[in-house]
Amino acid sequence: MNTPEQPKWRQDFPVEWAEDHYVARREFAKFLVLGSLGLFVGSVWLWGKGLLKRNVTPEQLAVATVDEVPVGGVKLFRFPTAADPAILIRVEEQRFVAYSQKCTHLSCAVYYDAGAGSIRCPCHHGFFDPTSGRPTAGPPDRPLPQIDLLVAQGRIYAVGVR
Amino acid sequence: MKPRDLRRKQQLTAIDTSLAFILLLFAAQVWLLTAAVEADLAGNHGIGLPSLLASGFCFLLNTRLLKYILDLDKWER
Repeated sequence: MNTPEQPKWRQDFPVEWAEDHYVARREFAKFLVLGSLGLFVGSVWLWGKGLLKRNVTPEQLAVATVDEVPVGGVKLFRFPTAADPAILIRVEEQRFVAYSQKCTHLSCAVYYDAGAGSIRCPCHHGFFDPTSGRPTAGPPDRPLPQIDLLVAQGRIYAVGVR
Repeated sequence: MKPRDLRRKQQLTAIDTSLAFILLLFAAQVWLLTAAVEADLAGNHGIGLPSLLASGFCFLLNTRLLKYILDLDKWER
């Protein structure tokens, strides 16, 4: 704004600060609402992705033969889709268990530590009980999704996910 | 102060208040999406829909506030 006390150069080149701030804030508000739209679209995408995943009906999959996996040994496979890594563990002579290999904390791949007798997540040091899939230590607070197995004629089949 | 400048100042106050609400809603949406992504990575897909609805509500409020801001110019004429 021009006042008589201001120097001449300022009167010649006035800056309407109120006008300037008004336009800047209006543009900033537009930018934020565009960002808000982006966040909403992200939520829609996330929901759609989860919805598609839930509608997958698993088909029976031959994972391994009984002789292929020694006691304390593992076999990695993918079930129910090619995008879902899973781990088969032979915990005892006659006992096989299988879980999703995605940690229930932030989806890192877990592995079986036969020496320690636990399933471990290397990212944030999560530990799971290999016999039940329940978390025993670290940040994960939900059990690993368990894969139902069927052993028939010396072969191990994955038949469903719990 | 000229009447036009006074009006601009009033509009600035209105914009600042609206902007504060928009920022709050934006921050809430960021938090919602972060929580939903984290839950999704943990295999908990059930949280997607409530997060989507809440985020959509925030977005609707934001568009309403933006419309209010853009309409401020119309009131001047």
